[in-house]
Amino acid sequence: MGILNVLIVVCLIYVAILFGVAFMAERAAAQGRGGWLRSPFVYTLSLSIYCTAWTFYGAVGYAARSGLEYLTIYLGPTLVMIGWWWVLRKLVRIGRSQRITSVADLVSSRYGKSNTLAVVATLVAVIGTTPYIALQLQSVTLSFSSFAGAEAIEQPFGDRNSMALWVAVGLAFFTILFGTRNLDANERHHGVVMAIALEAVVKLVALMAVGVFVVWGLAGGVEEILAKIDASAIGSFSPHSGRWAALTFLSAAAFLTLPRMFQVMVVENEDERHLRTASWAFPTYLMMMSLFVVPIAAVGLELMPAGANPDLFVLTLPLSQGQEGLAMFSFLGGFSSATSMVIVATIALSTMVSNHVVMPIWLWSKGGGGAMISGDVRGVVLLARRISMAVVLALGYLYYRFSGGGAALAVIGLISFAGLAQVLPAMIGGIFWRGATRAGALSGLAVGFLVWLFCLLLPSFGDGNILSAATFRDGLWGIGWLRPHALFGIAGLDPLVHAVMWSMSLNTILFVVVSLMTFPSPLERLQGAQFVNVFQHSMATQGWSGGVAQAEDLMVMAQRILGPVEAQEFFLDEVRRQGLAGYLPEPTSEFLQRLERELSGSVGSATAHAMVAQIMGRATVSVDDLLKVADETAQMMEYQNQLEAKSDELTRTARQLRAVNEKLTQLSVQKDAFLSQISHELRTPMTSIRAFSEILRDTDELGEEALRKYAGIIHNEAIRLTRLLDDLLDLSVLENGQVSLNLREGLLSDVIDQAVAATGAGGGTLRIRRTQSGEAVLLNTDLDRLAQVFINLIANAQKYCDAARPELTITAKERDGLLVVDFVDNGTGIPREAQSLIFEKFARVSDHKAGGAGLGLAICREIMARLGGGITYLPGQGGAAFRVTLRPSLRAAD
Amino acid sequence: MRDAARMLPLLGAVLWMLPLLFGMDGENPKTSEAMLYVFGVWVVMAIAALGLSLRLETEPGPGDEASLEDEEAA
Repeated sequence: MGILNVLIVVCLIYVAILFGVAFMAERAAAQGRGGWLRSPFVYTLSLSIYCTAWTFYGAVGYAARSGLEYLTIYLGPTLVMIGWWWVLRKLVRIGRSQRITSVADLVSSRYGKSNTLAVVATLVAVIGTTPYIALQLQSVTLSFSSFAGAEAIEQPFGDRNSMALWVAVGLAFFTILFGTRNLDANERHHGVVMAIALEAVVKLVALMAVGVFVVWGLAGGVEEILAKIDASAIGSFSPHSGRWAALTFLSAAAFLTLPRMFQVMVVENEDERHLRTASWAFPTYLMMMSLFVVPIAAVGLELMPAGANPDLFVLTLPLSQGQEGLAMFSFLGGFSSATSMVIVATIALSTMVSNHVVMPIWLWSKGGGGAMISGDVRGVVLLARRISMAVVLALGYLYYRFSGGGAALAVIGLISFAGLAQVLPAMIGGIFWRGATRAGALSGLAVGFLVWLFCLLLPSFGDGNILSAATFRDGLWGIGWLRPHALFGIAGLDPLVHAVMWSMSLNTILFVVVSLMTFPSPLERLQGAQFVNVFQHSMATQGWSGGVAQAEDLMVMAQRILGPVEAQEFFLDEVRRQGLAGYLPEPTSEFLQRLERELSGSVGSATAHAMVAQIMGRATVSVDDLLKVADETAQMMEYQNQLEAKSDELTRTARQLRAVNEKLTQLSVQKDAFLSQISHELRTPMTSIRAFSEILRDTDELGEEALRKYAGIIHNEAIRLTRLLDDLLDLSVLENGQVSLNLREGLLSDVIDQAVAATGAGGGTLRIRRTQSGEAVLLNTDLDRLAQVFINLIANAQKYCDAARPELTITAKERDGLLVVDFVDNGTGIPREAQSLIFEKFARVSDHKAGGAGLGLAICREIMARLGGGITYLPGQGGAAFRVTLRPSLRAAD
Repeated sequence: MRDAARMLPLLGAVLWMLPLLFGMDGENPKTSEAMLYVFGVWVVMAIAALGLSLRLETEPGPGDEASLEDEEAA
């Protein structure tokens, strides 16, 4: 009874000292005097949270049972640590740039801020850590009872179980006091880290003190202890090769995925360069922790009675030798190991639970406006954390109760390791492989976790407790290949190796296969690129499409989470940064990103994302964002595409240039042809005028009749020449667009009447048939020019219609909002091959019927183009048929 | 140097898997010998890591010291 009280008092004093250290460290940090808090050695010592009561008590027990195999538990982390350049550096950088708060947060944030994934990862972490916490309870309870004697415990507490309960309650109280005093903006707990560093020193010194006592005090020196080791039951080194490799891998994996390790290694990291120091200092620490384990085990096996629990040699060996002081120190070392683990693990787990389970539920229960509802969210977060801490410890206690509290510490610890390591594929895949998707991570994690549950955790409760003995023998539901220790019929493996192998391989295979088969969402791709290429671009590029003035709502929300003072400072700072006056900054995309990151430090990325989304609406991932993070291949392809586009453009330009060149050449040819044509056209009448004028000049004896005839010819040719020149002039004016239209209103019938009269067709051989009804259309156009066109068409019919009784039908009608006037004669028409040429200059269908210079239809076409209409040849009407179309700008039926 | 930093853990893994081959001739070695070997490798690893950490060029991350102050002042 007396010794128990002393123990309790010592523990309380020790805890008080720890608390004092934590308090001072926090105050120093708050006052900005915490330079020494940021020493890389504090960081290294805080990593020693890896060495729990399992190391302190369990390693010796493990060594006493299985020889050197316990070393694998420390070799794995050593490998990870000296390989910091591979993984840890990246993890820490990601953790800092994305404000990651936990393992679950990391995984969730990587896979598109998925809360489902966060919940699953949280579940895995909580269930996986439970045996571990039970281990600490068991070791503290054991150490109490072995120190004070079992009877002394049972008097005040009833039995060992209620002793463990009291330990759990005490630890819960202590953790809540430590871990939730404030809600740090970035989840750093200077005080806790400092306390852990102190505890790290205590447990190392305690273990080494016992070791030194054993080696030099009991064995008598190094030579002697080595001889004793070889002479003991563990003197022969015969490692189980499967377990040796599997355990090294498992401990390396657990080192990365243990929630408490992630907490101290990534979340509490002050400076990436601390890793540099830790890369050699932490392996040294681990080496020193494991150095005396085998000597203690060997000497314990030799000196202690046969039935003694080897897990407690560290404590019972000094006790049995009458070294009360050393035993007390050793007890404190074990107590340190247990408390520091429980504190950090529960802090880490409660962060996960409150961020990923409680907060989303709370937000959801508050409906759409949850983020803006009055009431301090910080209170809710803190309460959620406190409750989750208590729950986590309660789970640990329950596991302790139901697993019987009898298993060796190392066995419990390994079960825990194997469960937590299930996050590894999603984590490593997430930071190295951009193709990893949410569905892949989710399915791998879930399956690995279930296999672990079935093969390792449930069997750990013992035959017939949760899984029946029949299940062990015949498999689940009697299916032979579902036996917990012989999945798929592969029996004979060590249960741990068996479970690790199946859970990890199925986990990894599913993760990879499902990732390959599914397609990541834009946000996932963005986050994936940022995680994988964290060293290339450490900026957050997730774009909120802000714009609507919701800054006030944001302010309200930020105050609830960050606290009024911090939030106002944050906003004011942003106002200054944006160069504005007042209190509310513009909700720019950058500001929203910063705010979301700030919030995620308090409530996790998924929740922060959801809260900002409640106010800002959907987050958008712009194409620019995606382009920014596109990997090299994509950039190369992009570049290549641009090159191709440029090359295409060049080809197109070259083609255009060639076409233009061809046209120019054609034009030049046309011009030459035109010139030769025109000189020919001018030359013919000139020749005849010259010839006849020469006759008139040189011939003396010309009769009256001949004189008149020759003068008439000269006159006619001169008229023809004039007409030709007129036509040419007309055409050039029309082509150059210099013509000025004389717009007038008039009836179509009048224009046709005028044309018919001008050609004198009415009384001649050509019969003209008209449909009067369609001609009663009011036009607003250049009536003279239109008449010119009609005259030309009628004259052509007069000249070229080769029917016996030539007839021209003029019909006017309206079609599709256009006025259409058709001129159809009953001759043979124009041969098909000539149809496309008739509107060209100097184009004459045949030479035998001398007519004009071949400019008439060309002029008609130009006129109609100027009038906003057109003239086309209408094939298949029985004779030559021309269609004149007009845009009737003003129409009125009579 | 970076490559050396990358290779070191692989070397360590190989060296620490070697004890599995110790007993190949049918005679298990003494625990003390294996222990000395494992701890010997451990010391070498720690010293190599120390050497590397001193020689690897320092490149501060976005949130370290100097830039951290900006960020937190902001």
